[in-house]
Amino acid sequence: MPAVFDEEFRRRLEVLKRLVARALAGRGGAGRSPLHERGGRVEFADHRPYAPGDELTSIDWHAYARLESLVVKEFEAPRDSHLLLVLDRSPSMEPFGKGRAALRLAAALGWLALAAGARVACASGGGASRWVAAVERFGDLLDALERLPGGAGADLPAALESAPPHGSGPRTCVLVSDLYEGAPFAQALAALKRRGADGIAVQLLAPEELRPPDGAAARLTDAESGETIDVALTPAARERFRREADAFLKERAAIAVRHGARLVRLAPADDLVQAVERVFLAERAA
Amino acid sequence: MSFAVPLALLGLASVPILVLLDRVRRRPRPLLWPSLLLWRAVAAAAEPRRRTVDPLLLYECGAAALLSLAAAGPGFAHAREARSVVVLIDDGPRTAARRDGTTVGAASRAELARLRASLDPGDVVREFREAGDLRQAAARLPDADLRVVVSDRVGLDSPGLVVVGRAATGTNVGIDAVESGGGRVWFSLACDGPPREVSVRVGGETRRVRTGEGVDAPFAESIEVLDDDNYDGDDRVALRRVDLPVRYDGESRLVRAALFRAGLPAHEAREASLVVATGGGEPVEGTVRGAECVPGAGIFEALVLEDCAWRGVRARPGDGLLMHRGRALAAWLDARTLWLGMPVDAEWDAHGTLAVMLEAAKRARAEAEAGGGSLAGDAIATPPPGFVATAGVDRPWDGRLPEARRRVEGRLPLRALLAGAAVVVLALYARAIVRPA
Repeated sequence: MPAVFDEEFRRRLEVLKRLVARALAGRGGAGRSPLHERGGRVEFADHRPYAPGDELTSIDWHAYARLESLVVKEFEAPRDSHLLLVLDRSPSMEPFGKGRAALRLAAALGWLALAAGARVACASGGGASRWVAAVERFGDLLDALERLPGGAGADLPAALESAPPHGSGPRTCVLVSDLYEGAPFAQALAALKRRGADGIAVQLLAPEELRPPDGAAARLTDAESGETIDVALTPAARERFRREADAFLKERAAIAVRHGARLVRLAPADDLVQAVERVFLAERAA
Repeated sequence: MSFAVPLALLGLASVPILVLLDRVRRRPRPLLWPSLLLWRAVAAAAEPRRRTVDPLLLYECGAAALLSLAAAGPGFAHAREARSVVVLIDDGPRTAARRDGTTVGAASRAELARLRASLDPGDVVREFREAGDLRQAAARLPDADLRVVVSDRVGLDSPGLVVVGRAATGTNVGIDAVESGGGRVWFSLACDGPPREVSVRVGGETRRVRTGEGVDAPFAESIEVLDDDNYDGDDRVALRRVDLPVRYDGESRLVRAALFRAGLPAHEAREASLVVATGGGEPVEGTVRGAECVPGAGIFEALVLEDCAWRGVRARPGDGLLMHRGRALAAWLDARTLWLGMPVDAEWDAHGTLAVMLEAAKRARAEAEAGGGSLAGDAIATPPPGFVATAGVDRPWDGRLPEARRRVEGRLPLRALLAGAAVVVLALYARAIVRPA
């Protein structure tokens, strides 16, 4: 097992599992899990003792009346739910630790989906994995995530094309990328919309890449193309960069809105639990 | 101004270091960036790259340069023409003579060192050494119109030729040159040694004349006479310059004469008996008129020529050269000045020169009267035939020399001004750091 999925990480996944279980319990409305958006049916799975942190709404009060002890109900997602994790494995994800953060996030999402009874697969521009159907096969998912081939760019449409076919159940797709390439992003969202899939775009950007570096000048090398440009970091140039970054973020958000997808902006250093919460509780774009 | 000062060197060395550090600081930092998507627009919108200088660097270098300059001790250059000093150094065996506990040569070298130290770098100094007669050597120097006398201490406000060194008694020829009021001029040579031949210049022509018991001879085109306005102390002689174009058109005569009354009060004898001898032949008796010099009222200057002290007193035309016991004692040769001279010995007192000379004159007269109305000695009664002088131009010495045109550096300090400027620059630097533009 690689160090990226260490014991601490697994322990945090256990916490996330309970969060997803609550989401699968069906809160409806704005905060409802996307796994239940399209015809999903929540099925009771089991009881377990109450633990601090569990929501009061998950407590089975009838069982309490009988047993005089607090237990909470656990649910599982319908067996025909599918979660496709599409990762951007291009070189642009390497600086600032974005690649590692994307893997950790995808693994966390996959664990939660498996724990909720959904099938999970992963894909990138260079290929895709098979569907993983049981949480006991989470190790297979991790292996598949780590073996996802990279590419020259974030070819999200190709990743969708390479994804394995699924049945008639609901399908959710989470795209994890920095979304520097706008056209493939729009094409991928359009394809998801045509297929009736639910799309969640996770734009993973480091704060450092959204502000100019320190110093009077910089020689910047593109991580993907190797192109180099010299930039004098004058006050005017810094201001211009800030405007460009702001426009970039707004434009990607507009693409998501245009295609009815959700856009969640995360940073590599964000807390994983909070990141997962934001992904599953993300608002659908208006 | 010199940069051979530690602080000045440090300041100068810091300037290239500051520039180097600035270049390092401004060198583009290589960075691997996820995408140049946002930067392309920034680079396209950037103004064409110009070679700009960081104001902070200007402040740093400016402060360093100003401090360095201040430490170097600069000065304003001001328009003062360089002085030209011709130094004639006594290089003869007589410089071994001891005087005041040291040798004449050692005293001369010390005086020369003091003279050099007092000059500015732009001043022109030419040195000549002469083992023979200093005054004749001076006459041979190219600056013939610059004539000065010997002095133990040399003042730079005196003309450009100074003679350093003082010969031992009895070896030099004393030279005096005066102006004639009657269209003629006399030059006299006096020597306390045996008569001998010396070289003199007359109108650019060198002639050999005889010295000894009293010689009058043409000497040079330009002479100096003492002036009472410029006298600057007992050990310094300030001169006026009188340019006399002298035309020599005949043979000189070496005359022997006796002047019986000279340098005496006006109420005394108005006439003087005179014996004139030519070429060492039989003397010719004559009369000198108008010896109306009044001691005290007419005295205006003293001059020391080698080992002979001279004083000038007001006089009238007609007086002549007083010779006493084989030496020139007094000479009056123009319309203004009576020159009284006497040998200088160890007890000679510059302040009492006139009294000594007058006493000598009295003794001479007394001896003459006691001896039958005639004093031993030679004098010139009338200008020798063949000397024709034209009117000279008498003007105060202004210290300017024809060839001295170079400017020399002055001494006005700029250090405080530069240091103040450096403080201002440092203040601007601090302000720029605290409140960057």
